[in-house]
Parts: sequence; structure tokens; C-alpha cells
Amino acid sequence: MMLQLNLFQWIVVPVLLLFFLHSLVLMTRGTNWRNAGVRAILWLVAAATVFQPKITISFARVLGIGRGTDLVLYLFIIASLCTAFYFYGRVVKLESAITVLVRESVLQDAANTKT
Amino acid sequence: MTSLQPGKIFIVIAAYNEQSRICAVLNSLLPNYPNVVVVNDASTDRTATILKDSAAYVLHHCVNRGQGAALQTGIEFALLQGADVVVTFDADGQHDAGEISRLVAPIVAGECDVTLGSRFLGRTEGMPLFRKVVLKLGIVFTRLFSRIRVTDIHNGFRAFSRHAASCIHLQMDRMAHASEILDQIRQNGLRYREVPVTIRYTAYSLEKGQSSWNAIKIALELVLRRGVGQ
Repeated sequence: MMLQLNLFQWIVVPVLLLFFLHSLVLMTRGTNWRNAGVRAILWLVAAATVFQPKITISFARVLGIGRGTDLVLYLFIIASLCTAFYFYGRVVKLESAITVLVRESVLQDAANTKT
Repeated sequence: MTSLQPGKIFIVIAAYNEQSRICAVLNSLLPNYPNVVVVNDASTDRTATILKDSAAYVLHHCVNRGQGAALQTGIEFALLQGADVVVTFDADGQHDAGEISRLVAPIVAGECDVTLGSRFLGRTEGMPLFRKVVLKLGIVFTRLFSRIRVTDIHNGFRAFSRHAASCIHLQMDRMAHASEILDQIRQNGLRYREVPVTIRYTAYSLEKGQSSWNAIKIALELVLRRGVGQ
């Protein structure tokens, strides 16, 4: 049976599969294998949904959403918000760390000047 | 604590690009209060040069960290120097050095741990109407958010006993620190009192100080920081 793929699918699916394979390689190397594993799953799911969009329709119907596009949109919004909050938290922590370093340096200099 | 030497009172000033006002502010303080700590928050103008020959303690942040961070640095330095009372004072000349004795009096008498200057119990000179409206809205927000009843917020003229100053650990590096101080007063069960003070708005202080629109940014930052558990 001939594969009926459009141009977008011909381009994106191989790229996503390459990302998936890259994550698998990272997993086997052992460093941070959990993160690499999560990424591998995400790339595989993305490749599968682009390759076969009906998958999202089936899931959307199970969840009572109706359209697969809507399911993808909702998931994208939730993921974006989670990512934004995660990075905001990271930035706040980094900013606090910089402040602590700057303060320690100033107070240390002041103590050295005194002695 | 029933009486206090001026030497045990430390005045902490956060200064960022204050080349035109810092000298006058220090001249108003140093004759009566020898322990003035200026934290130069990586100013890009001549503030550092001007402070070089000052009789005040001068600390330099190598990177700009914001007013809250600079005040925390100054407070920690003052505590290391053995301060009994720490007063925070603005660098732009809005506050009156003559009112410090009145501000610290309740702390010296042991009646409270923190005194908060209130422009609405005292008086203001040249305050724009829009600023007044924003501050009043801020008071309502603070009552709901920080659950503390005060008549003024974001007034940088405050005094802390040594105990109170050592309880305050500002994490909000920028302007939201004023609300954080109120939060920490409540969380640490510190006794506080508001003291009427005078705030002078000048063209310089209005240009230099935070915009009234920053209130929205501050409120958003407070909510977000609580959201991410910081």
C-alpha cells in the first residue's frame, strides 16, 4: 500500500524521528536518562500524531472534546503555561542567587577593609 | 532599651544614579547620625565618585540588583556593625532627616519592633492626584493580600529594632520589597506602629522614583512569586 503523505508530513515526520533517535542515544549514554526518556516519548507522540492525525481525533472523542485540533490546542496551552511558570521560577531562583553572591562579596570586602 | 546613642542608629540608603541628590541627603543626615550606610546599587552616573570622599559607609553592588536587594545588604551590614536601630531612608530627598528621632522613639522606648512612616497620617507636599489614587488602591490590595492594616504602603521611611531587622530577609530584589516587608512583619509577629511623616514630591523625585504604573507590575510580581512558591 502506497503511503499517502503530504509534503508537511514528509518533512516533519523524519525530523521528529531523528529527534526521537537522538533522545534514545542520550538515554543509552546514561546522563540525565529520565529527561532524555521523557523527550523521546514526546518526539514519538508528535511524530505519530503528524503521521496519523486521526490518533488525536480518537483521543479527543474519548475526552468529549470533538475535534483533534482542539485537543492539540488545549494541550499546547497547558504545556506553554507550565513551561512559563517553570522558567519564571528558575529565573527567580537565579536572580536570588546572583543577589546573594553580590551581597556576600560586598560584605566580605567591607570586612576585609575593616581588618 | 530606654535611651539610645545616635551612634547605635544606622541609616540605610539604597542609591541608584543619585548623583544630583545624594550629597544633600547625606549632609542632612551625617551631622546628627554618624552611621549612614549607602549602598550604591551599581550606579552608572557619578554617584560612586561623589561617595568616594563621604563620611558615610559606602558599599558598592557590582551588579544592579534593585532597591530591595540594596536595602537588605545595608541592613545586614548595619547589623554586623552592631546597630540597635536600623532606619531605611530614600536617596532622592523625599524624606526629612529631622523626623528620624520621632520615627525611632517608639522603638527606643520598647513599645514596638518596627515603625512605618505614613504620609497619610502625616503630610505630603506636591503629591500628584494619580499617585494618591494608586497608593490608596495599593493599601486596599495590601490589606487583602498581606492581611496587615496600614495607612500607607511603599513608604521607604521605616525603622527597625535590631531584633526586627534580623528577622527581615528580603527576597524581592526590586520595588515589591515594600510589600514583602509588611508580609514579614506579620509572619514574624513583629509589633509595628505607624508614625506620621512628611513626604516631599519634587520634579526630581517624581522623575527618579517609580512610575505609578509600576504598581500593576508590583502587584503582578507579588502574585506570580506566590504562585511559584518563591
